[in-house]
Parts: sequence; structure tokens; C-alpha cells
Amino acid sequence: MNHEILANIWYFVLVLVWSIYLSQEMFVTGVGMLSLTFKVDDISFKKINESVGTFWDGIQVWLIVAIGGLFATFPKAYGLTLQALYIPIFLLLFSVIFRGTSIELIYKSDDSKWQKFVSKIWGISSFILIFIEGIYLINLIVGLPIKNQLMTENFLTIFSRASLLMGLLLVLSAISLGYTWIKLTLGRDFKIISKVSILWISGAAVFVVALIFLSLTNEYKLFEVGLFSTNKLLWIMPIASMILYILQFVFHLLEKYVLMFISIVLGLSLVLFSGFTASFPFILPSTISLNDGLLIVDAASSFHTLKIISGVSLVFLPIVIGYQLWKYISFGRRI
Amino acid sequence: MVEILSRIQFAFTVGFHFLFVPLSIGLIFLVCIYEYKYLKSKEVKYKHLSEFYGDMFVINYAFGIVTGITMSLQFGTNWSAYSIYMGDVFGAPLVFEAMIAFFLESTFTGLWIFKKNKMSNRLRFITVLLIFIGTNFSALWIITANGFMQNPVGYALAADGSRVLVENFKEIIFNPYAWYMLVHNNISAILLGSYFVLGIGAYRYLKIDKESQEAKTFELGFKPANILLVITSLLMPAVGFSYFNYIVPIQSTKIDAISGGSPFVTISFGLMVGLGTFFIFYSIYTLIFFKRFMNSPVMQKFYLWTFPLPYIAILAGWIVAEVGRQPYVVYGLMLTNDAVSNVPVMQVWFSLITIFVMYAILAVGCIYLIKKRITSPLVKEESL
Repeated sequence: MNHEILANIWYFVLVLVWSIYLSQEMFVTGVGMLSLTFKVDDISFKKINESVGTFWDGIQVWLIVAIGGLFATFPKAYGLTLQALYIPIFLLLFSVIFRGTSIELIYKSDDSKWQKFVSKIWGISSFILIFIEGIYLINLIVGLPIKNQLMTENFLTIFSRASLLMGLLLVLSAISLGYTWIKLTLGRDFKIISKVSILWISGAAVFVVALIFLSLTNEYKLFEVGLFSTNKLLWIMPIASMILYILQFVFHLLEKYVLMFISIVLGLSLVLFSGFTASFPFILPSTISLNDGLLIVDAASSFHTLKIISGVSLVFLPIVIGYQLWKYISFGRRI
Repeated sequence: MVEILSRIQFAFTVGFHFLFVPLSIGLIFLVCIYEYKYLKSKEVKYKHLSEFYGDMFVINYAFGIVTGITMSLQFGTNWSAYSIYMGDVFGAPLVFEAMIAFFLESTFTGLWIFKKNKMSNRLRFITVLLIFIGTNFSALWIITANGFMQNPVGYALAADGSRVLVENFKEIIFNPYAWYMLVHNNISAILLGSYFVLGIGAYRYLKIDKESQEAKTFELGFKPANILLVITSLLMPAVGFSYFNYIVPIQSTKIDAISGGSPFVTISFGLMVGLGTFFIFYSIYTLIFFKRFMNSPVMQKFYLWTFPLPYIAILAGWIVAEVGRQPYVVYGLMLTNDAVSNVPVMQVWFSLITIFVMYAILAVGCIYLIKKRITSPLVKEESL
């Protein structure tokens, strides 16, 4: 094991942390967005909110680990990207703040006007949150217009076709996951939204995934260089993610909600892994020229620090996953 | 300009965040005590106390967690030069805080908020105990990071001088500065929590029939809070004094600032010491004449109206620690001036103004909810 290998491992560990985070975050934001369309009684409404609220606190920390982990293992990448994405990061922060406080405080007052008001904030901030996260992630994959480690253009360049598509994909996946979550925890008979409109959302996700891969291939030529050009076996990842998105639509038609849930979670994780594998060995590619990108190994903390962080993570992350799983098993069952 | 605005933004966001942190640490300790007494005695009054102050904890915690996220992003957005130069040392404690402490605290707080009525008494106690452990570990890691900024140890400069590297992580963790700070900080948090229990409890107690069950519950709750207040206010100067003596040889600029070099720091120091002295006398007086306190609306009102004082003392203490460190961001190693991001000043104006507005909304929401909770009965009917 040397410095470069450990840095590369951490690069993919962070992608894994993002996948773990989003797999859970999306059903919370999905339920939040769906609640904007709910026409249910107060008791059911509270049940739905409670079913996701119980888990939100623990989920949120995965985002902090993803960002704090970038700081600890790749301080240079952390410093450069957050500085470059100053405005979007603050918008992300505000949506995190509004969404988080809504979830925790919605039932801290019995006033039903308060609860309705907070629920609206929950829904809207969920949408903004997950959309910006899509934009953030795709910009790490395709890179920013950086030269000499500084942005050469206005931050508005981050709103490209690919990034809007990725934002959309996260929104659509989140709504589908929120829907399956409600079906799984509150029962199949729980009617919240017409089946036809939710089917449209599942179906649209399939096309959006395809468009994202097309954009990454045609506009950014991401799959022509790096790992994908040398190792054809890696093509399994984008292909499998396409198949999984098709499957989630099929499972939706068949009303197999557990399988639908798993397909979306795995499908999206593979979209992320495909993208970040394609941009390897750059942790932050430059859209200006290849040489201006920031390499994983150049951005990494020292070997000594990476070893310490690895040791602590190997001990504590399994413990965390253990008690969080215990919580899902003990308190995530149908209410 | 970017530096000044970023400093204002950081000072404001960290100060606002720190209104919630010490109360979380202190209040959950009291909730643990009530929950333990409930577990042992099965006296339902303790359960009611734990849930009443547990609600306060949750409201407070919710604002603490979201304003804390601001901090972890700002190092990158506004202090990216700092992040790049210091990241090797500074990033690890932050991510350990999330992995070791924050996961524990938040996973079980979520459980407490939504499922406490569906748990056994033993699991209830374990849940609040784990939250308490989580909050304390959280403080440990954040203060480890801050301790390095005050008194850098266990590091080496990179060969090209471009960044600071970890040389001995053990030294960074066992930095005496951080441990003095941690003990000082956590005791002050419990002091604040006890004062809050008395002050906020008094608000409700003053309004209710003294023969009611609710009044009897509060009577049961005030005593442990008062005892804790006496213990912590006596411990504060003892710890503070040795902390001060430790700083004298290693942070001369801070000592100069305290002894008149910077009026802002001098006044803050005086305020902290003065308030600390007041807490000792008033808490002991209350404990000796506890019966009189229970029957005296004047004394109770005094706790109510003075409940911001521990907050002021704590913020004053942090002003001494952080402003006293200037002009260094990392003492002796890096100037604050060299730490800022290279961003257009308009963007910093944007974040500063929006944060002011956002936090104003949060403050209103927080006051509304606390007020709502203390004006409603101790025992809330659960609809689920």
C-alpha cells in the first residue's frame, strides 16, 4: 500500500458515502415533495412524516461525512470546489437548514396552521436540496472551468445540460423512492397520488439516465479517456445502471415495491460510480484543458493522515452502520 | 474586504450556533438524570420532567445541528486557503466528529423525537444516555480542532512549506490546551443547562396552581438542577484558574489582550469572571434557602429574567479565546489575513446578507416554539 493507492481508495470510498447518503436522503426528500400533493387526513399525514422523520437525523450526518470526508482526505479539492461553487453551496446550505428544521419541529407545536406551513417548507426545500446536490455531483464529474486552480468563468457555468439532467434524475428518483417508502411503511392501500402520474415519473427517469450518459459521452468525451478506454469491463456499470432503471419501472408496474426501491438505489449508485470512474484520476477535472485538472493524488492528505483516517473509519463506520440498521429493523416496520 | 466580511460572517454564524450547543450538552445531562430516576423509581413525574425538558432539548438541538452544518461548509467557501494549508491536520478531527460522535447523537435523537413513547423504560434511558455521550464526544473533537488553532502541536511543515502536516496525531489529541478548554466548556454547558431548567421551569411554575400535580413535578425537578448549578459554578473558577495559568507562558498575545491590550477582550474577560462569581453566590443562596425559593415568586422570577446571563458568560469566554488569538488564525503559524478564499466580494455580501435574514427567521421560529412549549401543560397528550 502506498500513498497513491490509498488516496485512490479514498476517492471511491467518498463515492460510496455519497451513494449511501443519497440512497436514504432520496426517500426523505421524496416523501417531502410528495406531501405537497397529499390529500390525506391529519393522522395519516403525521404517520407519514413520522415514518421518515425518525430516520432523518442519522441520514443527515452522511452528508456531513461526505463533505467532511472530502475535507479530511482531499483538503485541496474541498477548498477549491467549495470556493468555486460558493453560491450554490450556500443555496444547498439554506435548503438543508429549512428542510432539517421542518422535519424536527413540525410537531413541536400543535397549531395545525404551523404544521401545514412547515410541511410546505419541507416539500419545497426538499426539491431544491436534492436538485442542487445533483448539480454539485455532476460538476465534480465533468469538472469546472478552472485554470491555475481558480474559476475562470462565472459560477453560472455549472448549470449545464448534464447538470440539469442530473438534478432532474435525483428529483425523479427521490419521488419514486418516497412513493415506495410510503407504500412499504404505511401499506399498499395507502392512496396518496394517482398511480398514473407516479408511473410517468418512474418512466421518465429511464430516459433521463440515458440522456445523462449520452451527454457525458458526446459533450464531455468522458468515456473516451481514462479507465473506460483501457478497461472495457467497466462498461458493465453504466449498462447495469440503465438496466436497473428500466427494472424499477417494470417493478413499479408489477407493484413490487421492495424490488423497485432496491433497483433505484443501486441504479443511482451505479450512475455515480460510472461518472466518478470516468473522471478518474482527476478529483476535479478542468473543462479548459486536461492539464489544468486537479489530480486525486495531488489533492490528497499526507499518507500518514490518510492511514489514521482509514483506521478510525474501519472501526467506527461498521459500528454506525450496525446501529443504524438496528434502528431501521426495529422502527422501520409498517406502522 | 473579503476578509472582513468573512470574519463577520464566521463570528456571527459561530456565535449563533453556539447559542444552541452548550444548552444541548447541558440539558441532555439533566434529561439523563430525570430519565434515570424514572427508570429506578418508576415515578411518572420524572418521566414528565424528562419529556418537558427533552422537548426543549429537541427544539434547541434542531437549530444547533443546522447552524452547525454552516460551519463545516464555510471552511471551504470562505476560508479555502486555510482549508488547503491546514486540511491535513484540521480535517481529520472534523470527520471524526461526524463519524464517532454526531452519528450517535443524531441517530438516537431522531429515535427520541419520534419513538420515545414506543420504547421500554430501559431503552429510553439508553437512548438519552447515548445522546449525552454523543454530544460530549462531539465537543471533544471540535475542541481538538480548535485547540490546535490555539496551540499547534504534533505537526510538521511540508518540505515546500505549502501546508501543515500531521506528525504525531497523539500529541494533537492530547493537546493540553484542548483538554483545559473541553473541561471548561462542558462544565459551563451543564451550568447553563441547570440555570435554564430553573429559569424556564420558573416561567411555567409561576403560572400554575401550587397544589397541582404539575407543580409537584416541577418541585421534584428543581432540586437536582439547583445542586448541579452549585457544583458547576464552584468548579468553573477552579478549572478556569488553572486554564489561565496554563495559557500565560504559551499565548502571550492573548494575555496582553486580556490585561488591557484589547478593550473588547478585557471587558469580555471581566464579564465572564463577574458573572461566574454571581452564579456561585446566587446558586448557593438558593440551595440553602431552597424552601424559601419554592415559595418565593421573586426569587423564581429572578431566575427567569436572568436566564440569558450564562449565555452571555459563555459567549464572553469564547470571545476571549478567539478574538484573543488574533491576528493569527492558527497561533504563530498562519495569519487570518492569509486564510481567506479567492472569491468575488459580491458573493460574500450575498451569503452574509442571506445568512442574516435566514438566521433571523430561525431565531423567531426558535422563540416561537420554546414559548409555545412553556405555555402549554407539562404533559402533552400524544395523538399517536
